[in-house]
Amino acid sequence: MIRRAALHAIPTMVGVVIVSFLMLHLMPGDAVDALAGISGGASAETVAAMRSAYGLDDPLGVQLARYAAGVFTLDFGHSISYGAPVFDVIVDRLPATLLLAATAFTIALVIGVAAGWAMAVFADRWQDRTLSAGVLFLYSAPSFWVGLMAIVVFSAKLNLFPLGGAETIGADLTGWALVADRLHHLILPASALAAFFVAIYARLTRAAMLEVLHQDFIRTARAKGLHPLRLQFRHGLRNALIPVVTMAGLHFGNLVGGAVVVETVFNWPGLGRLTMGALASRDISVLLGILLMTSVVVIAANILIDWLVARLDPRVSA
Amino acid sequence: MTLLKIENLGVRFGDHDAVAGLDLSLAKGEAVALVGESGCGKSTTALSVMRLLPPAARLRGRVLLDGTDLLSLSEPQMRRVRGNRISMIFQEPMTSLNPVHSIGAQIVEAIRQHADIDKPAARKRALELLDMVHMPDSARRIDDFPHEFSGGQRQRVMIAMAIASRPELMIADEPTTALDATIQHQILSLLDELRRELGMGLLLISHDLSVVSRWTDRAVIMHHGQHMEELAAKDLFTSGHHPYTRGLVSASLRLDRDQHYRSSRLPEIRVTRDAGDYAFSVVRRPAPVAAVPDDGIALRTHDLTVTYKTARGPVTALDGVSVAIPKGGTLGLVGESGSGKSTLARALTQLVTATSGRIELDGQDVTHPRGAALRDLRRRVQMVFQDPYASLNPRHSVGYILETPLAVHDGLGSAERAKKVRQVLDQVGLPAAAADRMPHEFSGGQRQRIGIARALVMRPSVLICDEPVSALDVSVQATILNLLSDLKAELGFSCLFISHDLAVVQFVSDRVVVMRNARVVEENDHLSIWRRPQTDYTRGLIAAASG
Amino acid sequence: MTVIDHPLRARPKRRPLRDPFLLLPLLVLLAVAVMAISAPWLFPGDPLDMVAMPYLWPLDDPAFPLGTDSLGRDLTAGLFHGARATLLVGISSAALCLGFGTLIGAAAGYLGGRTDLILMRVTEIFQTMPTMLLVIVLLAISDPSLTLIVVAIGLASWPMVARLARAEFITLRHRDFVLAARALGYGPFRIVFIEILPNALPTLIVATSVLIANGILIESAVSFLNLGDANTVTWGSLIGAGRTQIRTEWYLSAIPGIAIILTVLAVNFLGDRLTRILNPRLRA
Repeated sequence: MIRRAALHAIPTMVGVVIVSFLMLHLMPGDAVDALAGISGGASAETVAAMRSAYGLDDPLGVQLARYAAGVFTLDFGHSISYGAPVFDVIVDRLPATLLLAATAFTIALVIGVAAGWAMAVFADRWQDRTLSAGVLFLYSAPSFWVGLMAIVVFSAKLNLFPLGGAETIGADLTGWALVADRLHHLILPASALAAFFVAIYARLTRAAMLEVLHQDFIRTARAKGLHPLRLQFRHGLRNALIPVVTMAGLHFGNLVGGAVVVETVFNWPGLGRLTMGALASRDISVLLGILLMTSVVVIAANILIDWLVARLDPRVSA
Repeated sequence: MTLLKIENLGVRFGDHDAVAGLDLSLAKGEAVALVGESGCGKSTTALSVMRLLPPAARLRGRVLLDGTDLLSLSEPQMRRVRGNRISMIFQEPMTSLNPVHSIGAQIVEAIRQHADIDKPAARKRALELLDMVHMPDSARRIDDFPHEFSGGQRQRVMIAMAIASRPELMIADEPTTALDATIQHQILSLLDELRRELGMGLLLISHDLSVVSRWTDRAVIMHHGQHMEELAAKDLFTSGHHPYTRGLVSASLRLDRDQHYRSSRLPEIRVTRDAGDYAFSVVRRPAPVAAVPDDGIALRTHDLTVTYKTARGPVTALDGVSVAIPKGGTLGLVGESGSGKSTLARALTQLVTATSGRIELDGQDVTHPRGAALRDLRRRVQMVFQDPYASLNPRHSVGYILETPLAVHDGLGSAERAKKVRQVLDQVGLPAAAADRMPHEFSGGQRQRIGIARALVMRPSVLICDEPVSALDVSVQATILNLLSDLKAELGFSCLFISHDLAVVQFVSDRVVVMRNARVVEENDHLSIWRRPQTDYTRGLIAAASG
Repeated sequence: MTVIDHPLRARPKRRPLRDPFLLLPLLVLLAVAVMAISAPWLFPGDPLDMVAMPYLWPLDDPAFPLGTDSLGRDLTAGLFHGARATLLVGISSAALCLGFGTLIGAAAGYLGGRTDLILMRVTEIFQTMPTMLLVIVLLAISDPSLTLIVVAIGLASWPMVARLARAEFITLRHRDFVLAARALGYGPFRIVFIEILPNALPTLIVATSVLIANGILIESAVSFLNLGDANTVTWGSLIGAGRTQIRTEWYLSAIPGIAIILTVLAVNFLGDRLTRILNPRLRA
């Protein structure tokens, strides 16, 4: 199962590499122009020499092959603005983003599924209408704005949470104090990022639950004399989770993308801030590296999701 | 000793009475049938006994189980009745089991819901139950999931769950309608065996009069939520008094009656409504004199083979099939699900491509027609589909549906097209105003008329009918079969009529082909094939169809 | 011979405009459209010009009802002008996605086989790359403009539509009425566009509302991050500009945010309502 999913992922990864290579080529100017710009006023001969040294005169196919070979040996090139291999620069910041995304994902899934379950059980009653209105609000609010307003309310006015960052600078905490401090910094950004996805999963769960609750086997279960709660969980939610988890996998990429925006709001030291930095210095190789690395993360997450769906649905593995 | 007594039951949805003033009683160990056509309220009655109707339903009257009124019980009290004292099985075995739990787990759940025993003991009991319903290889299969079982096997699992607590009453809502005739027979005899063994009452909901007369003691006939008549099941076909019962009985085709479209038409039930009361009459009329088919062959196949590529390798859907549709006559095609009969229909209409073999239309090869030859074939060979709800595009008006073939093939002007549409609507017995309506505004029988009109609007010489009456009620089925017979006499087309129902095929066909597992098993004229069957398979089909 | 098993039923009447959940979001969207259209007349100057004292709070000065920012720019003018970009990007990116995604999805679903396999592989590639990052990279390699933002959002969001359209076409292609159309000898063009597409339309219309909402949200994020055209005022850029004074003059970010939420909320409400009206299965 895992092996099949992994094999399936290879052509996708190749595709991502090709797309990023093409985008690199669509860019007006190339790496040498950028280099020449930074070192200031290089002569035409120097530029031409550099171009052939970097292989930029080679046919497109050859360049693509070289680029792909580099990517698959984790050589994403050299970052001019950071003065280090792109891969190292990214790997340095990746854990912070992953922590933020994973926390938000968990929050979104747990709260979203719970809310969706409640909405479906109370469908078209006041509980459902209230929750639906709240969920629709979250579904319509930009995550960065939710983050900003959370800062205004919880940090600036109520002083409950720090304004930003991932830990208290210079506090030199260790052990549980460090974990608590990290957690304290994590809650607001993770919640702001999760808000939109809470709405998505709640709506998905509601729809899936309502669909499942109309199925024949639910009537069978009721004819057995089961308690409504057992009916809703063991027969209803258990089946509704299959489409919800499947869709959750499809949304994971957007969650990582959303993290980039939320990070800048909270000064979270992850890929988001790296992205903004690379943008400021037009360091395209770092940007493409980030795109490639997050794609790898999304693919890995999807393999995990496929495995989970196979565990949930006996019809899949057959 | 009365087990179940329904007194003056009324079920109301909004301002619509689904059931009104129904009385019914059932003694311990007795089998009683609720009979009627779709929408007559028989399933609603069954569900109200179980109190499984949606909250919008308003119930009146009393449902007494051993003297206790079920309608007055609280929901927790009612849960102790469901699955314990009364259990129920349903029509669709494919969707009635939860796909994500093993059958063992689902049976264990039913056992432990009403008995205080531990899991290993419940599992042991589940195995016993699977043996009681004759599940082959039960010990090995108890942990398998529903999708790994056939429809008949799933219905056995449903029955095993239903008898888990040795109920006093079992309600079976059309339990075999979705199954092939031979499987249907097995399931019904299993229910009968268990009823006697466990001494439980059986309330069988069915539209099928032969099933009811064979497997129950008494029958209650319903129409529009009302009790029409109650009589001993064995007398159903002979001594019904109520005109509706008599109409239903005479509209139902039976293999032993030898009705044939060349000599007679089926009696039709007319229902008229006067101030809320229904009046019924049975209309009989003779068959118009029709030309006897000559010896020619309209459409024929030689060694036709169709293989599909699937994820699990190639599947042979047709394996060397040779059949011939007589010119001006009807070839009946009988087979159970998966026999390849629908694939044959699609191959003849070029919806699937033949892998090998030949198809001939009026002696010309039309196996792989292209361009003008294909267009010509489309005009001459048309098809009527099974499901009148799925075969009409819900977004187009009936007029548009009927005139488009004329626009595509004949390039007629709009006035000319409208004239032909009116003409064909009249031929299938619909008013001209139907052209402005959308398909969802029609009943199932009316839609099937539209489907027939669409197939006939280009005046094809061959009509392929793929189970055209299987989705319809008995009384509607009779009107559609009469219509097809009349149209055939009027227009003289040749016909391939596919059905799983032997009695229907007997009525409409001149020759009959029996198919099984992608092959032709047997072929003969419409009388000999039933009187002198040559193969065990056909004999089995006849035995199952005779109830 | 006229035999009818049931008389033709009377037609039910529908009055969608009596439905407040349909009317209210329509009014909100109408208001936003009026704001966008009237902006050049009501606020003829450049909304980026300094017109008053900085940091005027809302309602402090009746001439500037929503206040001014650190450079004394009128927030009301910004809001009206920003509505233009919001609507433009939301609608045109949705249209782009819808056209492209439906085309790919319909081709994959209707043709099936190898075409389906290849097209879905391509879709998967674009679905794997995080939307926001793809938009950022696309904006980074070229000079940002509204057109580019529209194209970038379109390029990053079409897979959703493609998947939806594909699923619809796969189900519809096997329905009996499509088989009937093939048996009647209709050409592929007629089958795809006249027989199948109208049946897939309800799903696609609802998808459109999601696309518009997403387009507006992504555009606001892009301009919030200051990646958009620096000379165009958008609601996102107003939030971004107000961000530095978030602890004190929080209204500068709050008000444009509320404008975004109201607009997106209206779009989503409309979508939800249309789902109910167009989906007969849910209505029953």
